[in-house]
Order: sequence, then structure tokens, then C-alpha cells
Amino acid sequence: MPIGLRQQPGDKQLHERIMIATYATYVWACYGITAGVLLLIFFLAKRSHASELLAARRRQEMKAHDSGDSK
Amino acid sequence: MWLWFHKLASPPYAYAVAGKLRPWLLWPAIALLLVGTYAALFVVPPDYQQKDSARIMYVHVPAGAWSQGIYMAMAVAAAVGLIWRMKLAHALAASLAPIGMWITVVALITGAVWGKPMWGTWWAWGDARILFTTLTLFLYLGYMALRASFDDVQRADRVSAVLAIVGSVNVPVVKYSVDWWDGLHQSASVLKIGKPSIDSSMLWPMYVMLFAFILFIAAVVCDRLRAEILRRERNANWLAAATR
Repeated sequence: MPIGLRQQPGDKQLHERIMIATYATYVWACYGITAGVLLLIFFLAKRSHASELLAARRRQEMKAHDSGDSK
Repeated sequence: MWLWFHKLASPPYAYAVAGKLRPWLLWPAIALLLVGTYAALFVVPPDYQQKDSARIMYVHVPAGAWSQGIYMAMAVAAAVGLIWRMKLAHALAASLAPIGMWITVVALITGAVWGKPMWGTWWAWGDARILFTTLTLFLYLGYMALRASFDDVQRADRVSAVLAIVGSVNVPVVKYSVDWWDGLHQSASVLKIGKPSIDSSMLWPMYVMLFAFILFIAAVVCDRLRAEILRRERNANWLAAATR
């Protein structure tokens, strides 16, 4: 720290910030679980839409194929 | 206004709108989630009593609040579907249920993890808020199970809508449970009438996270709603153009 500058209360060391004192395990577990669930609901919804879209495209292709056969 | 409402009830229009809206909700949600998480973990000062464990509230409170908010939205959509026989409203209610269920799971798990260092226990049966939030989880599960038990979509819509509407009684009970009964949960400090009893240095990341959560949920609902519309409109002619 340059001479003449006093350490501010918010200037924690990086290690301290990451450890977040004695509650690190609880805090990081909560953020990890939340991130995991948010990612899960995002990908489940994306996959659900993609699979329905694929099924709809196949139906449309079959429909077009059937109408082509009947002509 | 009513014209727009009627237009939105049309599946092709709703499908297109949800597709266009999704990126406008998702990217701001991700940006706000990053800002809110950084602020919650590294900027906000530790609480004078709960120290750094109070940082858990920035994920627990939005999850708890939106688990009830999504349920209310689901109940309103179900009621609109039941009263005005709007199929799209039922589709919206069905899309909201699994998302609400997972958000409630987040609220309960983060609450349990926060409870261990602060209350000395993961779970307390005597706490009304924990109990009624658990009931919310079972209402979501019941709604989804009920829907899945019918082959006829219209019948599933009607019956599950009744459950969603009846279950909405639980929402104000969860909200006021901390005032009506003594328990481990503290009284409302963020989402309350009048001035929040929390310092502004700790409050703004909470608002950021609340807003980020709802934007993210709305983006995910767009995908779910589009899937639900495709499932219901499988034989519709407009799908040919929409799925190209």
C-alpha cells in the first residue's frame, strides 16, 4: 500500500473475500445450488422446446409427403 | 388494450411474441444476475448480527418471493383459462408450474442451508413460513401430477385450474405467516408496506437480484410456453410456417 494511504474497511484481501469468513461453505453452497437449478430450468425448457419443434417439423414433413403421394 | 389481449390469446401470435421476447429478457437477466451476485458476495458489508451468512439472503429471498409470485401468476392464468375458456391461459399456467416448483426448491434448500448456522437446525416444523412454503411445493407437484393424469388436455386444463385457484389461498398465508405466528423467521424487512427496514447499502443488490430472477424466469417461461403451444397445436396449419 502506498505510504500515506490508509486501509479502508472495505479493502479486504482477495483470499478473505473468497473465504467470506467462517460461513464460506454455507454461502457458496447456496449460490452453487441456485446457479445449478437456474441452469437446469433453463436447459430443460430449451430442450422441451427443441424436442417439440423437431416433432412438429417431422409432422409437417410427413403431412407434405402424404399430400404429395395422394396427388 | 383489449385488442392486444385478444391478439395475444391467439397461439401463433403468442408463439411469435414469446420467441421475440426471450432474448430481450434473457441477456439483461444474465447481466443483472452477475452484477447482483458480485455485489452480494463482495460489495455488501457483513450483517452486524449474522455476519457473512446474511449474503445467502440475496438468493433465498428472491427465490422465496418468486416461488409465491409464480404461483399467483399460475392461479390467475388458470382462472382466466377457466372463466374465459382461453386455451393459451391454460398453456401459460402449465408452463409456469415446473419453473415455480424448482424455484420453491431453491427457496427451501437455501433456507435450510442458512438455517443451520443461524438457527442451529436445517429444518423446523414449528415455523409457519417453512411449513406453508413446503405446501406451495406440494401444490406445484399436485398441479403437475393432476395434469399428467388426464389424456384429455381440456379436461386436464379444467381440473388442474381448480386446484391452482384453490391453492392460491396459500400465497397470502405464506406472506403473512411471519406476522400471524411466532417462528424462527423474522418479520418482513424487504417486501413490506412502507419503508424497508434494511440499510440501502444492503438493499440495492436485493432489488437487482429480485429483478434478475423475474427476468430470467420470464425468459425460461417463453421457452416453456412455446413448447406447450407446439404440443397443443400439433395439427394446426400455421405450424408449417412457424416451424420452418
